Amino acid sequence: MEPGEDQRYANIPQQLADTLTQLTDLLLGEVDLDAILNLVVSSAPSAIGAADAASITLLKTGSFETRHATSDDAREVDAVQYASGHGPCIAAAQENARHNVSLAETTPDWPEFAAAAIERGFRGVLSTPLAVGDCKLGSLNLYSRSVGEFPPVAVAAAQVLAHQASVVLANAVAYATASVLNDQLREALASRDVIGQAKGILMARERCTPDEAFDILRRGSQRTNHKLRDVAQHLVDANAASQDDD
Amino acid sequence: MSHQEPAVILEAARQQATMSVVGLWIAYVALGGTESLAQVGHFLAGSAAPDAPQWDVLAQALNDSFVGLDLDHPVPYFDELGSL
Repeated sequence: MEPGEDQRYANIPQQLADTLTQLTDLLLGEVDLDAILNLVVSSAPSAIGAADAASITLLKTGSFETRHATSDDAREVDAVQYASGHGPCIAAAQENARHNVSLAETTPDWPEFAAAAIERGFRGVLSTPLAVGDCKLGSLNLYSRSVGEFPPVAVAAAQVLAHQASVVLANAVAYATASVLNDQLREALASRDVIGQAKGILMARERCTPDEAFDILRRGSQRTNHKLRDVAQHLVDANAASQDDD
Repeated sequence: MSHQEPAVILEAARQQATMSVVGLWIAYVALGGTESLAQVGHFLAGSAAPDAPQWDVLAQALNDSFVGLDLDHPVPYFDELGSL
């Protein structure tokens, strides 16, 4: 670290603490995934130091996406990596390993990325994986115009922020998944109710067992090539109409 | 699908329908299925075998997903398994 540079990192503990406190205070259900990502990205440069831009790469079933970035430059450099298929952000996300790269040095592994980053004035990039256990979520990416390789204090701050962000992100994804499952189960119960009514009608009409009533419904589904729920709904509606006629 | 083990029939149909195991279980519950998600997983893996009523509900859940895809009830019901 050069003389005077330590001042640049003097505020990291407080900035990082503030960001971690905000992340911890987030209540799942009241904020969505984008709000969490935005908080992490927008606070990363000040919380980590030496970073002039930040972005988050999300890993989505084999593809990559930058959902939030603090500048167009960062977003564009990310996009170059996704287009070429390699770069530190992708490597960090895929390998679950940190990449701290000085662009002043040759980067033969990622020529497209290096050229795009240097063209936009960046000298260094620090990509820290976002992961919980074996679950890979993506990477937190910091770009610097002032330093090549990020110093240990910034690397440590990025690691703390990325770890906390990973936990919150994983919880947010789990919460969203549970919400979708809850909605699907609610629909399933409504469908089950209709089918139960139809089975009851058939049991009374045909003096049969519940399994035999289901068998009648599924044969109707097979005969008409309609979903069983639709067959059941038709039967329930027809039964209600006949009772109204009576 | 002849000569295939029953579990293989269910699992192959699930994959053909591009349904997740959870998605199949929800569709099965919607039709009146009473087994747990874990047990349905065992049925698909072949480590447990459904009785006739539960097989038919699972088969119907899969067959419903094929309605509209010009695939008319490709998954056999329990009373059709013996003829395969």
